[in-house]
Order: sequence, then C-alpha cells, then structure tokens
Amino acid sequence: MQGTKMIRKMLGVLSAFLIGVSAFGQDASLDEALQKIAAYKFGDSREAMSVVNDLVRKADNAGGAERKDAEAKLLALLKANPSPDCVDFLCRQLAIIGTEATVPVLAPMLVKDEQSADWARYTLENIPAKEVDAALLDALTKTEGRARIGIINTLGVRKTADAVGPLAAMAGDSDAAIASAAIASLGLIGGDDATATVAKARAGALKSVADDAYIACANGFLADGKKDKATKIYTELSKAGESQRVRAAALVALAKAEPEKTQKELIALLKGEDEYLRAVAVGLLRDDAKASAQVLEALPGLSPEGQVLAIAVLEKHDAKSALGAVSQLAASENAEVQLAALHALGTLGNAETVPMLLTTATSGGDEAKRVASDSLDSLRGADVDAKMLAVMSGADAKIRGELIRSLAVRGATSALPALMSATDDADAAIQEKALDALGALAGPGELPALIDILAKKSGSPVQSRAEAAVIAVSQKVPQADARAATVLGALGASKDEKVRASLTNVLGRIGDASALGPLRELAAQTGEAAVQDAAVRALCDWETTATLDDLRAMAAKSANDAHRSLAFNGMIRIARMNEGGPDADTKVKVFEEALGLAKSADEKRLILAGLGNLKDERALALAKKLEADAEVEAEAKQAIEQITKSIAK
Amino acid sequence: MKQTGSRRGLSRRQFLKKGGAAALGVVALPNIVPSSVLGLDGSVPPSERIVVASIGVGGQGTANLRAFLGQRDAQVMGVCDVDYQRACNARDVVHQTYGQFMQSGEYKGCEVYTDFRAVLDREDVDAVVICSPDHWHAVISVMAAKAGKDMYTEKPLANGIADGRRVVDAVKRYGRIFQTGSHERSRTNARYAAELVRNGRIGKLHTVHVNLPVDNHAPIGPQPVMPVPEGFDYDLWLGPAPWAPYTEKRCHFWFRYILDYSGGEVTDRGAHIIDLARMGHGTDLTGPVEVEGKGDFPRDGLFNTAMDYNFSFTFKDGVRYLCKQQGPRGVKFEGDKGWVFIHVHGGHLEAEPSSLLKEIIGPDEIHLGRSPGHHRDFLNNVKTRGECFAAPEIGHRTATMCHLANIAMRLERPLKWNPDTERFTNDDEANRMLEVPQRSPWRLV
Repeated sequence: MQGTKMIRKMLGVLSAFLIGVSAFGQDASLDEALQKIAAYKFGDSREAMSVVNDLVRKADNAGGAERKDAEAKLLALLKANPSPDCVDFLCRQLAIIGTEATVPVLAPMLVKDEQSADWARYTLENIPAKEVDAALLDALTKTEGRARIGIINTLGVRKTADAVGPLAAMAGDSDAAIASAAIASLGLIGGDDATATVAKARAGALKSVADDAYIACANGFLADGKKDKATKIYTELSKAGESQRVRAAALVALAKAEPEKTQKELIALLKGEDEYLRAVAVGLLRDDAKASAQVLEALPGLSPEGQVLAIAVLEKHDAKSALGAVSQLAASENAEVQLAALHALGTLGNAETVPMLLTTATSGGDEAKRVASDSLDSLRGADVDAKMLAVMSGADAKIRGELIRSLAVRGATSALPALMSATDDADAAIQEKALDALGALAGPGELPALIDILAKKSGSPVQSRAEAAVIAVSQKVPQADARAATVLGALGASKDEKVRASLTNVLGRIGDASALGPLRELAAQTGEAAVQDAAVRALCDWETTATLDDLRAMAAKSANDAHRSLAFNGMIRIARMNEGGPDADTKVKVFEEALGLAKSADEKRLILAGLGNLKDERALALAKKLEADAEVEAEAKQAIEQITKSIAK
Repeated sequence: MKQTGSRRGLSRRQFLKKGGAAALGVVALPNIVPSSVLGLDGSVPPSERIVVASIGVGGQGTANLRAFLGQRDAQVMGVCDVDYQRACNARDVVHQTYGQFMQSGEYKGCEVYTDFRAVLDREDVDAVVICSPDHWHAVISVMAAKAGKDMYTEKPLANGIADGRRVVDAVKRYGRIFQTGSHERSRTNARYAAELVRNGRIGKLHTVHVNLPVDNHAPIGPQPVMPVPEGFDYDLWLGPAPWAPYTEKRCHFWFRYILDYSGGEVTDRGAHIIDLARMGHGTDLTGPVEVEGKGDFPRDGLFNTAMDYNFSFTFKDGVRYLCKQQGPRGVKFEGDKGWVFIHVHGGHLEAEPSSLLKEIIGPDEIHLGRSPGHHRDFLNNVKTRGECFAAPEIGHRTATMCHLANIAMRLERPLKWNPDTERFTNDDEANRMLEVPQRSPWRLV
C-alpha cells in the first residue's frame, strides 16, 4: 500500500516535470530525450541516454547559454525524482558541465543515503565552486558511516581549508574508519592546525595512518615554500625509533629538500646494516649525481654487498673519476664484486681499459668473460676502436678473434681494412670471424672488394661465410631492385666456373627480383654444370612465389632427377606458404598438379601435409584420392581429418 | 608469529651470496629455468629469495604468476583474487609448479586471499604483482607503496591521470621499485627499432602511426541484472568504482570495455603501442601538447568504450601521432629518410629501406639498453634498487596519453595539454575529467 502511494507520488512529480520541460521548449529534442530516460533502469536500452549525451555534448561545445540551458534541464529532471539509474546518469553529465547551480540540487543527496551521497560526490568533487565546499561541510555532520567517510575524503581531495576544524574533531572518532579518513584528509589539506592534529594522532591507535598524513602535511609545507616546517617534520620522522617505511619516506623527502645535508646520512646507511634503509639510500644515491665523490670515498670500506650496490651507483652517475677504483675491483676475488665492476667498466672505461677487458673476455670465468665482452662492446670514446686495432696486430688468435667480434658489434668501420686483411689470416677460425664481421660492418661501397675475397675463397672451407658476407652487404643497398647489381656484374665478368657458381648461390639469396631473369637463363644452360645446379637451387629456394611457374615446369619436364626433385619440393613449399603465399585456388591447383608428378611415397606425404592445412573441399577430395594408396593411407586419413575439422569450424 | 621488518629486509636484500650477478642485470636468465637452479631445491636459501604475492589472478594475472614462478630467486607465497575459485586455481598452479622440485613432490606454501589488504599486511611479502582490473591499479599500488612493497603493476598504470600521478608520487615517496606491465617495451627488437629512430636512421622523425585494432568489438546489448556468483566478492571487485548491479559481462575479461573500470582498447593495448611510440620518439618523461579525435562509442548495451576511433597527438617538437583502429597492430615511425614498423605483439620489424634493419648502433650513440625480460628486470631492480625499464613515470605518461585520447573523444573537441603541469590549458571541463572520484570508503592517499 505504502509502495503504491510512493509510486503514484513519483509519477505525479514526473508528470509535472514532463509538462514543465515541454513548456521549457528552447531545445525540444533534449527535452524529448530526457523524457525517455526518466524511468531508465539498468538492463533497459541505453539508446535514449546516448541521445541525451549527444545533445549535452553539443550544448557543452556550443558553450555559454546553451550549456547553462542543458545544465538546467538536467537539474530539472533530477529534481523530478527520476529512477535511481537515471540519477546516476544525470550526475555523470553534471560532473562535466555542472556549475554552482548544480550544488543546491545535489546537496540534499549528500545526506539522503550512501548511494545518493556517492553520486552527489562524484559530481561535486571536481566542480570548482566554493558552494561545493559549503555543501559538503554542511552534510558532514548530518551523515554517518560510508556516506560521511566519502564526504571526508572529498573534502581532503578538494583541500577544503574550512574543513580542518570539523575533521580535527573527527580524528578522534570512535569509528576507526571515520577517524582514519579524517586524519588522511587533514594531511592533504595541511597547514599548521591540521598538522598539529595529525601530530597528536601519531601517538594514538591510528599511528600508521597519521604517519602518512604527517608526511603529507610536510609535503604541503614544502610545496608552499615553508621548507623549515617541512624539514622539521621530515627530520623528526627520519630518526631511529620510527618504522622503516616512515623513515624511508622521510629520507626520500629530505634528499629532495636538502640534498647536500642528506648525503652524509645516505652514505652512513650505505655502510650500515639496515638492509631496508640501505636499499632506499641506494635508490636515492643513484638519483643524485652529486653524491659520486662520497660514494667513491666510501667504496673501499664497504662490505662486498655494499660495493656491488655502490659500483652500480657510480655507473649510473657515469662517474669517470671512479674508473681507477672500479678497475681495481674488476680483479676482486669476490665474484659478484668483480662482475659488477666489469659491468660498470663498459660505462666508465676508456681506451686504456681495453687490454684489461680483453684479458678477462678471453681468459676469465664464463660469466666474467661474457660481462667483459659486453663491456668491450660498450666502451665509448673516439680512440677506443683505434686502441683495439693497435692491440690486434701481434695479438694471439684468441685476442684477435675477440677484437674482431667486438669491432663488428661496435660498428667500427675504421676496422674494415684490418678485417679485409684478416680474411687471409693463417687461422681459419679468424678468417671466419673476419668474414662475419665484414658482413655486419661493410657497406655497399665495399662490395667489389668483398666479391674479390669471395672469389679467392671459392672452394675453400670458408666459402659459405664469404657468400654470407656478400649477401648481407648486398642487402644493405637501399634500393631493393639494385641489390643484385654488383654481384650480377661480377658474374658476367668472371670466367671461373667455381666462382660463377658461388656468385649464383649468392644471387639466389639476396632476394632482388632483378636476378630472376639471369638465374632462369643459367638454370636453362648446360655448359656449366655447377652454375646450372646453383641456379636451379636458387630458383627452388626463392623466398617469394615468383618462381612457382618455373618450378612447376621443372618438376614436370626436367631430365635431371635431382633438379626435378628440388623443383617438386620447391613448388610444395610455395603452395604451403601462408604469409605472401599463393591464393587458395592456386594452392589447390599446385597440389593437384603435384599429385600427378609425385614419384615416391615421400613426395605424396609432402602433398598430404600441405593439403591438411587447407580449409577447402577440393583439398579434401584430393586427400581422399590418396586414402586408397596403402603407402600413404595413414597420412591421407590424418589430412582428411584436419581438413574436415577446418571446414566444420 | 609475524616476522619483523628486519627479517623481511634480509629476505630480499641479502642476495649477493647467490644471484647477485642476475641482480646487476648482467645475467640474462632464461624465462624457464631448470629445476636444478630453482630456489626451492635449496640453491637459493629462503633468506635470499624475493617473496612475491599476486593480486588479481585472471588471464594476465596467471601469465604473470607463471613468469615469476620461473624465476629462481622469487618465491610466490600468496595469491589473491576477489573470485575465490580463481585464487584457488592460481594457488594450485603454484603448488604444482613448486611441488615438482620438492623431495616430497608436494608444496603447500602458497596462501589464498580474497582481500588484497591481507596480502599487504603480510610483512614477509617483499613484492606484489598487481593484475586487478584497471580501476583498482592506483588504489592498490598506493597502498602497496605505503606498506613498503615493491610492485609489478599491470598496464595501464591507472584508470585516471591524477590517479597515475599519485601512484608515481607514492612510489617515490616510499622508495619503492615499480615496473609497469608494458612488457612490449622489453622486447629487444622494439628497443632496437627505437634506437634506429632515436639515432636518426630514418632521418627527421615527423609522424608516428599507431595502429590499434580492436579484436572484440561485436556489440553486446543491454545485460540483465544477475545474482552475484557464490565465492565472488562483488563489492570488493567494484571497490573504488561507482556501484553498479552485477551482471556477468561487467567483470573479469570484459571490464576493459566499460569506462568505469577501463578505457577500452585505447588504454588496453594502447598502453603497449603508444608506449613504444614514446620510447622511439624519446618522450618517455613528457607528453603531447595537443590531442584531438573522434570515437565511436556504443550507443546501447553494457559496453561503452570507443570501439572505433581516430585520434591524434601533437608534440612540442611538431611530431604527430596518428592513431587509428585499423591496420596491422603496431607502431610505424616515419622520418624524412625512411620508416620502421614494430609489430605488436611479437616484435617483428619492417623498414623502408629494409637495409635499415642491418644498421649497427655504435657505442657513442643513444643506447636504450636490453632487457633480460620484463619480469626479470623487475626482480633485478628489486635487488639493486635501480630503475625498471617501465618505471612508474614512464607508465604514467603512457597511460596519460591513452586517457587524453579518451577525454578528447568523449568531449568531442580538440584539447591543449601542458605535460609539465598535467592540466589542460584550454578546457576547465576537461580538467574535471582528470580526477576519478572514489566510491566510499576508498581513497587514494
């Protein structure tokens, strides 16, 4: 009965609203849209709300009177007692466009119930009007529980200075949640009175919350230029007896407020036994480049754990003055200290560090070797590469090999002549390293010289490394269709079949389509068997679908069994390509063709493996054809199952 | 009996006897370590392990959990989820993983929690992995910082710009280590591509294309109110977000398409791709000066984040980011001499000319370092107190850009932004959207 009365009353208010808004009339469409959302409840269509949102955005973007008008209409509906979910929506709109005019409409919601109080707060919290603070303060003592806590929190976020008195009273509330919220908000608001209350609260049961609020008060003082007040609090909190986390926070703040004064304490903590605070101190020292001298001074006397941390600090500071001390520690008997020092030398070191790092990189323990190598690669300075090259002449093979590796990683183009010479080194391993390095370092300008080296290495154990170097450097030519040009030129000029075969290998792997014509010609000729073989393989291994027709023809007609087999495998490989592969029709056609060309069970298996990846009825039919073939029955069944599953998905 | 703070300090920092090399970032541990080096076989004594607890163990939370389970010097001792069954599942993963390395074949040391505050109260927990829905990131992170925990917090760093700044401040204030979960930043290829850009290999950078396709943009209609499933603490799931009736598709994976909890694809994978854009552009510690865009927000149904969009940012140096919902997922840096594209996820690179990808970055050029893996990087820095690859300021600045885009699209107007003050300079109403009011009793202080 009571419920029915309530519904009638609500409907009455709503009707009055609807009459009101239709008379309001300036923007009928917003009025109409608002009418449609008044009874909205979760689960209904949101379409009408989207229209309201559009119109409010439009009014908002028009600004001035239109925005005010939209606000008035939203408030009018809000006053008309719409559904709770509509209230939620209206509040969200008002949170953006609401002004002081919104405050009196929402103020009653603050004291209505927890849910309404939250909706009102979401809206009011970010409206920059003093009326909001007054409304929140008024509601503060008229609410309880979560509603009150929310209001306390919002007063804190808004830094409402007038709230200090009421919040101070609540800091001692018997409800710990309310007292905690009040203390936290006092910390945000700050100032002398709030700070005094917070300081007092630190002696009570909510010390932890009060500690955080006290720090916040100090931060507030610092932000307001009251450094003395701030540092007094930070200093108080940094003393022994406070919890580690609070001391840590105080230290962080002091390091920011008074970096020079705090350095001494941070160094003391670095030397000390308190692991928690030492960690915080290290973090602060890393951020303070001016602390390098003190860290360096402390370094020798630190425990190994402290030394490792201090070395990392010095490295972060790029403290070149620490080079001597860190170099000494790179020979430490403590493995961790040694590794830390070796690592730091990559940043702090210079040309003179090269010999020491080289020695460790070639004769230290496994981890030390790796770290020293990394550091060699990282050494900065214009003279480092020159130093490496100077050391290389006359060094033993291990050292030469390490230098060649590092020079390549460093991008040391000044090493190119030395690397070219090293391709003639008596040690084959050095030749290989030099060729690898040339592949990484040389540019297109060095291609003719590299091709000469390839010619020399043709038929030698390092031929493939020389080919790889030429391929890598050819691929550095910016224009994709010019990458094969130098090799094609050399191929035309060479009369040596071995060299021509090697260059043909290279052509196939550069990936420049302009090489395809010459490769086809070379594959078709029969005068140079080695060159023909290389050309056929190049076509069969070509990375794109461009050679598919060549392979189909070769697989069907080649008199050379090996070439036929290579071509067959090549066409299947292309038909199985996903990214950049042929379209589905072509794939099926290729498999069908291949079925007619297959000469062994293995070749049929290759076809079935490819078919199994297709989602196509024609592929299914092809696989079924092979089901009756006893040699490949199992593979056929598997392919059929795979295709059937794909089609069913 | 609770352990003392001093004991807790020992557990995380007396690392040098074992594992210190890894702590320096000088040992790149594989993601999966063999059992012989897992701490549980005794090679890393308990006092030297980092005690980890996971808060939020859904899909990504469990992926993070597994990543930490594979680190020899970390021990997961607690899992927490408001969905009790999920928490139990995660605990089982921990027990099964560690059980393999126990002589008895059994491990029972991982506790289940449904309230993260109980996790933060554990004094023996050194680090927490925060993988809650986005609307919780800031509150839990700030509370964790206060509790003295180091944090691996999933991206986006927070669900609001002011909230993100509070996280950064809290982490600094309490001297904590923080890794934002934008792990794409740890990929070697991505870092190399960024170095190419930073060192001028593509010439002068002028445009960054951010391709941010939405996978799940099938509209869903209005959803019914449903009973809250047993074992699911829905009020705690909502936490600081406005109260709303329970319906299945509000929670778990789907939260990301509802603005009260997230920002849609723009903040979800945007926090990866825009993050990479900033890394290559060299704007990790700042932000744009202008943002504008148009978003297609569902007009009906439960989801309300933009499902199609075009937005752009302009930086002080004139570089523009053009972001769209189409294209292969990733970021393309365009300069006056070429371009480089990072595919997300996977890190595959493309460039024009393609020869750019053979460039060597010399020692005297800008180097961004190489990550031993995002989770490993976090643990290393927990030990050395260094800065993670996705430090909080970086995570915050990335999330800020995602939120700026959403704000501009929601307000339907171009906005001017001051990245130093982190305020809009031409729009008071937009400034109101920087703060996300918290549902009582939650607060961000």
